[in-house]
Amino acid sequence: MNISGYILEEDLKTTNGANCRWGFAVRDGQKFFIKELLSPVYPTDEVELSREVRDRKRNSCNQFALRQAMLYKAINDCSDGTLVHISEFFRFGSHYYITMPAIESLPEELLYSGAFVAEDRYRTSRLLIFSIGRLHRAGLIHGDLKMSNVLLTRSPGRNITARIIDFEDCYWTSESPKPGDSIRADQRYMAPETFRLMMGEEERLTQAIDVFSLGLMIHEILTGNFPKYDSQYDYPFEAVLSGSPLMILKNRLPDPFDILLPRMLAAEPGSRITLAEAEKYFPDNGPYRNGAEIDGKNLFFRAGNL
Amino acid sequence: MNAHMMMRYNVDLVFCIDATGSMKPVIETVKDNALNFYRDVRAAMEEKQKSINTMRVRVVMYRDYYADHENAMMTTRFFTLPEEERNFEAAVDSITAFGGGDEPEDALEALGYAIRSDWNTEGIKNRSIIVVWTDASTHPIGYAIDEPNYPRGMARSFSELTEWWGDEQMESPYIRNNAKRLILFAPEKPYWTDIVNSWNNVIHYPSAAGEGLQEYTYHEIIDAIYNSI
Repeated sequence: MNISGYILEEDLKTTNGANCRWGFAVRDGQKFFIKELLSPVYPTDEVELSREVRDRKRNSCNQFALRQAMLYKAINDCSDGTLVHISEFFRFGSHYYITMPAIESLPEELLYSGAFVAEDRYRTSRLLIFSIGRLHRAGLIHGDLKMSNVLLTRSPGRNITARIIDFEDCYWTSESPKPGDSIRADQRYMAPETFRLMMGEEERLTQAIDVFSLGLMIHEILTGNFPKYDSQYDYPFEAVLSGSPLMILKNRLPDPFDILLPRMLAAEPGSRITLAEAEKYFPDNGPYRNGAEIDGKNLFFRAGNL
Repeated sequence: MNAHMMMRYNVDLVFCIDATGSMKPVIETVKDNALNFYRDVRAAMEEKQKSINTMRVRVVMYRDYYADHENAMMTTRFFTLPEEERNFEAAVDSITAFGGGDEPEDALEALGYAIRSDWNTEGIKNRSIIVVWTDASTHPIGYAIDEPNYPRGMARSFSELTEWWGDEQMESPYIRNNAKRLILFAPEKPYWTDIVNSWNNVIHYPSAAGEGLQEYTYHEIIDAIYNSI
């Protein structure tokens, strides 16, 4: 099947995709990851719809397309390569598609394997702070940070590194969801205030939701597990909201994560450290440790306060 | 434990099953799939460390109003699983494939019933999932409107049914936009292609006459459900 010049290698599938179908395709000899969004759907001319319904749906789709194009441009502009570059966003027939270069990632199980050595774990954790920090400096919230949205990769002769994917739930800080909205964030990594908002409480979601999710991810990367919490709760945010502490394994965390994680996982968003502040805990916050080995461009950061 | 601060997941599934004569070769497979769905979705959820608080299943069995009259559209209420599993199994077991008349069936009316199900709206996260199994195209909605047992209050046009399904901008009065999924195991024929090309949150697995659900497709559908939860 040919989707706007992308030749699919196989049928699109839904595996691990909540709101899309995805697969791999080749265009001009290059392999791409391609994602078809399940919503919205642009009614084609052949569909038997009244003019009123067709026009309303098309207007809604056009607004969506405009907003997404701006969003993806903002993400690409702030990326240093660790936020995976969005190659194209387009409509083909009734559906919208996103493409990005295909990335050969290491198996997810690596996270729980001894082959993922302490240095790799430290570097990956650090890289995530700086990468999401870039997104935050651009005024964006990822909104669905979880380990399955991090691809671990290794080029021959190089260290394991990480790339962040899936920006479909990304939004500008000015676009906080409304109380009572259903939010697609993975409940395992959900921040407590996201749940409060879903319950209808007045709450403004900020970049602190990403910080909480990232805190859980980094704990998982560095120790192999989430922080322990009372087993009567299914998810960390439930424990936090009920006043039950997350037991952070500080003695297994390398400096400075033993200091950072309690602040990233603070119950109240206002008490959480920002990623801009977190970056200052790394004295070597120059390009090399932050992923210069990835593609070597736009990797220089202004040195922060020590 | 403060139940107020616990995530509650309620999943409602409605199976729309074409029970006309052409489905005879595959109806047993479809029934098996329907019966295994609950266990397989729950197992997949547990594997992903997610839990479902309430799962309910309803069946809409449809044929053709002109050809099958009072047997054209049969629905059950929602069965809560696992408590009412035996009732659900008995309902599914009782389905036999017959009738249907011409090739298209009255599946759009079945979708109308499915969309207007008594969905669970309690809890923070709900999923309202409709799964359709058929090997046939559909009549236009209202094709059999002059049949005595044709339902009153049914959508009068495909446009109105489309509004019943709703979208991001115009929330359906019957099914929540963020909660809904329509999984079609249906041929690339009218009005299935119309649905695919105008309704959101639809996943379509093209089917062919006489062919059941492939094992691969079955697992894809399970995946589509638990990933959306």
